[in-house]
Amino acid sequence: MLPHARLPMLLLPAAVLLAACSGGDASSSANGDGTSASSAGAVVVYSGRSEDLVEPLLTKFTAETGIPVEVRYGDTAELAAQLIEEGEASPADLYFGQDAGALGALDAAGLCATLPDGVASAVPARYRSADDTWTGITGRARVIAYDPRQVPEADVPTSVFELTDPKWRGMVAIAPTNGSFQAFVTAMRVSQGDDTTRDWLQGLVDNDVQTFEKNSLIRDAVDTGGAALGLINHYYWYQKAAEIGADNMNVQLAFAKPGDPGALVNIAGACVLSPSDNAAGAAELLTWMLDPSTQEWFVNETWEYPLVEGVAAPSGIPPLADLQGPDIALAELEDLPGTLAMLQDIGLT
Amino acid sequence: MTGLQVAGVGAGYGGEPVVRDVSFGVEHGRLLAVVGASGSGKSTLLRAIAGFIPVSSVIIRIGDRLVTGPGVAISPEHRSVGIVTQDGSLFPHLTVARNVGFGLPRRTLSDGTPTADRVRELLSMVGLSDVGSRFPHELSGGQQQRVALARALAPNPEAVLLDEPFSALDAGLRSELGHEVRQVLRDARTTAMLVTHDQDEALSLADHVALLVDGRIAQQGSPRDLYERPANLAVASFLGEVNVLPVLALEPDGDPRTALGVIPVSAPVSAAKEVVVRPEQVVLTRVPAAPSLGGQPPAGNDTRGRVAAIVYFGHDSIVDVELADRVIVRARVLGDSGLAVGDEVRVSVCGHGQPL
Amino acid sequence: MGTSTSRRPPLPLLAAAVAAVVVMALPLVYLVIRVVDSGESAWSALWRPRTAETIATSLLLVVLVAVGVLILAVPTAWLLSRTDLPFRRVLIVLVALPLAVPSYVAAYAWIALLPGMSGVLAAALVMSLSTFPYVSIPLMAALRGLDPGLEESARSLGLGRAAVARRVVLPLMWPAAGAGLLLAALYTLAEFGTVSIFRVDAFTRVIYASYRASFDRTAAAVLAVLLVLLALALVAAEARVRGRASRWRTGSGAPRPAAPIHVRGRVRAAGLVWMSCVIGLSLALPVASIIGQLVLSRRRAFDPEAFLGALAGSVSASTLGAAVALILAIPLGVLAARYTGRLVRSLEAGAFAGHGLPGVVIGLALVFLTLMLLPAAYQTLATLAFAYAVLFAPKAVGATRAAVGAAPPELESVARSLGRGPLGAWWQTTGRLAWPGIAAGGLLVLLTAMKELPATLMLRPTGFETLATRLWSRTEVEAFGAAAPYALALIVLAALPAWLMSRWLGSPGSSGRRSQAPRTLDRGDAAADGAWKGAAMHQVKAGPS
Repeated sequence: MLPHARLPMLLLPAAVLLAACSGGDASSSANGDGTSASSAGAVVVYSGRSEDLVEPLLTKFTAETGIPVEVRYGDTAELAAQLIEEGEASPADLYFGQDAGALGALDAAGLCATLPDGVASAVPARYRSADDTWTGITGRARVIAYDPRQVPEADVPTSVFELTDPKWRGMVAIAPTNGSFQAFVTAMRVSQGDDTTRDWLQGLVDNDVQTFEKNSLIRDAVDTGGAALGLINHYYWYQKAAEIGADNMNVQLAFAKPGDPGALVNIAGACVLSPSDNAAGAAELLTWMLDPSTQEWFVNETWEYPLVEGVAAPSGIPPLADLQGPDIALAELEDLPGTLAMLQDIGLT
Repeated sequence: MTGLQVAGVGAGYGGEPVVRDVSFGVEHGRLLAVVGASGSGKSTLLRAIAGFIPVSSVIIRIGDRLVTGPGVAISPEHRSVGIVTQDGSLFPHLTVARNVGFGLPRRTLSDGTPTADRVRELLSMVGLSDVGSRFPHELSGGQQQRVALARALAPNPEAVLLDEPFSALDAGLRSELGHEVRQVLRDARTTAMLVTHDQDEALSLADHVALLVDGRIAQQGSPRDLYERPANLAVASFLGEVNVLPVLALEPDGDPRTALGVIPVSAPVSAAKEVVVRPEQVVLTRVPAAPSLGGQPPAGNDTRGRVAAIVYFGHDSIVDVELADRVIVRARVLGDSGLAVGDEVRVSVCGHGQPL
Repeated sequence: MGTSTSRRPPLPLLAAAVAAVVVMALPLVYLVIRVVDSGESAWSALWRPRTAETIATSLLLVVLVAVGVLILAVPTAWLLSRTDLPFRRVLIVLVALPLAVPSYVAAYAWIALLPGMSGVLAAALVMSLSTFPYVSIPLMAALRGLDPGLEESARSLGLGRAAVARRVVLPLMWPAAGAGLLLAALYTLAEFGTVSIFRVDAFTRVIYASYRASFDRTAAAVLAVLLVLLALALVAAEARVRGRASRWRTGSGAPRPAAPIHVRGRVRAAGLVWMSCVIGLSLALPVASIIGQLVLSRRRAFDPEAFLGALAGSVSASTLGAAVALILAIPLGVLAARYTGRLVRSLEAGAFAGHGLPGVVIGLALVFLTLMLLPAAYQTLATLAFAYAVLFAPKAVGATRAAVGAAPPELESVARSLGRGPLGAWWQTTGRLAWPGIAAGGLLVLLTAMKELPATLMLRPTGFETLATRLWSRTEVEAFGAAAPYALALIVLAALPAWLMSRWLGSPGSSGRRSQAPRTLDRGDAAADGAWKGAAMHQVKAGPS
């Protein structure tokens, strides 16, 4: 038996060795100071956006400004929950998230610091918080994904209110637990009122709506024909196209008519965190993300809408101005709990 | 009527057979003991008869039924053979009563009697009437073996095979239980085959004994046959202690002269062979320290020696006596021998020696 | 088993076990704090009809998975440990590998194959395929250790093979199967990836919705308490089954191994077909799907440096985690194996109480507790390893308990009589015999830790990557081609621990023992020797003639 003991006994020191190596490559957060996990002047970012996207971006930032950045990747909502749990002891300086709901929750928990004057002034007021605690960086449109084999282009609804029509029974897909859907419902409540929203939601349920956990699963379901129509964000289409090629996809995108709740433009945004000890660095990073050249980069990489004047929108999709969904400021979408309560009442979450 | 008959059995686990050309028969209701040292193949033989091991050769009959033969290989569950293993192998998750009734129909037997009655009968047969509702782990080793026997007898098998059933028990318990088991089997009139390495068990319990040496039957017969008339040295030495005396010369009447003098033999012996004498046949008489005046000259068979070692067992003693020429003879004396190491003794043989 | 109910456990052992349980139950401390903090709205979450519905769905899922696991594990264990099916040694390793496949990878694989797949049955199928090794591995060990005298006695009493299996073998296998079923059931309760992909309305979805949508940790904590109660109920059930069975050991000493059953012809073919199906569905399918996506993908960029970094990260964090988990599990396992009583049972229950909680709860719990107790350790490798230990130590407890329980306590007494101190005696007897089983428990922790995600994301040092985190970041943007190497690496990396685990998860003394048929089945050699010595042969030599 003893010879076999050697193998695991060897693993343990090997593991420690590996840990030392990999820990060394990583940020110096393994040093003794708990409140500041950064080496000199580094900005610690908690990013709910993917590494694929953010890594090259931040590398560019560091190259241009010389400020090192350490990034922690995770799920937008789970990172926000972690930040709230960490509270004042958090090592993070900047939060970069995928939707306004998470930013609103951080703001409500008092974790967002006021942005320096002029930082966010480049962004239209409707895409940032009322008290300048967080701002959108890029815009993402709500769209109706449709399967052309089941629904000819001409027949695709132009308003979400058409989705409760019996002819779409069982063919519509939504993701009620997803932040973007909930933001969309909140916008509907703000612009159309609670009663209309509730009726519409109930109508969906009565119409045998299919529920999914994520937008990507909706898109895939429409692509394979499991559903005919789905409410997702526009860039999911581009994400899949980048993976397998547009020619290999069935699903297509349709935009709701202007003013319709289905034409809501949500944001991916960021905020400087109040527990941060490098607010200056964080603010600089945030400003840089709103810089026109960075905004252009976003447009090219993700097909999201720039929020800053003077940057060209992605081609092939309606310009931002045409898409003004409900006439509300995103900051008004902070009543997430109310939306959740409604969704729970209806039985969708 | 044959209880169990095997002829020409060779058995093993692929490759070399462990037992070869084993043939014997047991009459119905009798007990056969198969004796041999560890590794002699006796358990293999038992398993072959029970049907757990493929046998490469000819005939096994149980009762009047051919269970193994040309074109016939009946599976164990249909052979009507019960087994009792070394540690009983009681089913730990069932009560004693359920264990005993395991081979019987759940509620009633084919003749209408309730199973529970038969279980009770069997338990009282082995002297364990009141433990039916207990679990095996609550019983002692001896009790477990008795339950195992009751379980094996429950379906009225043609034969019961016992695989060293007493070797895990205390010495005292061993012989007592052995006789009880023998009695139960006799009362049940069931043919039985007992596999053991213990000569005492074999000789005292069996009607018929077969000695396995290296996978072959060295000798079979009644216990008396094997003990008193062993066919060869291996048989003789396995079943008890022996003194092996080379034949020095032959007397005119055919009796051999050995180191212990002239010994009558039970069968003719030739000059180049050996004669076996059991220790209990060796008689020792102490020679007084000072020879008597006018003492008698030694008689014809008067061999003398000096006591070299004594081992006292209580019921008997083993005395090793050194003769002239450093030859050592072992004697068994009842009770205390009254001898001490160094005493001079006269050695003679009682009864017949066995030629080999 | 070697249990001595009359003795009280020695104080150092008890203290170590209590300390271990306190550590393992730390997430519960977090839950209690949050629950105490919570307001009306949190409690109202408990009473909603949807909560009851989702709990019912989760319980249904547990039952279905239990059934599925038994269907998969029992024939597999029997084929691989009692017959002479060809390729057994390879199959035994392959059959442990599904433990290395993360649940969402398996679920994605199935959905890619059958896009419409959804619902409770689908989730139960995929989860059974992921967790059946929890049962098949200990079952194989138990079958190997079964006294063949039991089966032979049963057959001599007139039962055919099938009836013997049903009435004698299977009832005796329940304790081994029960421990594995407990792990599978707790996994099912805590699992989120599969149920979300298959759109099953399980209870974890409600908890996750609570975190992700409303960021309401208090409501989530209240709901998580329910999971703790469910977990405790399952633990109590398993303990009852095991408790009854622990008294069943009779007979004297180690049984001889049973001769393998020869399978030929149709039975052998059927056995091979079965094993192919099981391994195909549980292992080959996810692997094939990963490779398929790799082929279809346009984004196949492979960064060797990132890959190696993630590899190092996985190995280091999981190994350290497994080591810490063993430190926690060993005192508990030893205590549970050698002693009984209410205190011991409560300690065991306490260790498993948090095992049904989803990773996100454990992650947040440790964030909170680390920052409260030891902020300097926040987001360090040590904390991550510690999190793995807290998460997965219960897996090692069962294995330790079984391994130590199978080593006779009399050996320790003998060693003491020969002059060893208590710890030395334990180490040189029970320790030597039980360590393969204990190490196998550690390997189980290692395998599971390598694929852990939510707690890893929260607690790792910033920039520290594991194979699982890299895999996740790729799949989040659906770069399946780039994700493939990481998924494959996870499975391949698991092969070594799986192989070692399958070698060591046998009863002590039979580890490494091949079940060859012995030449002769004669036992009682010690007794035989005594008799043999009594029949000493006296060769009386001829004098000089």
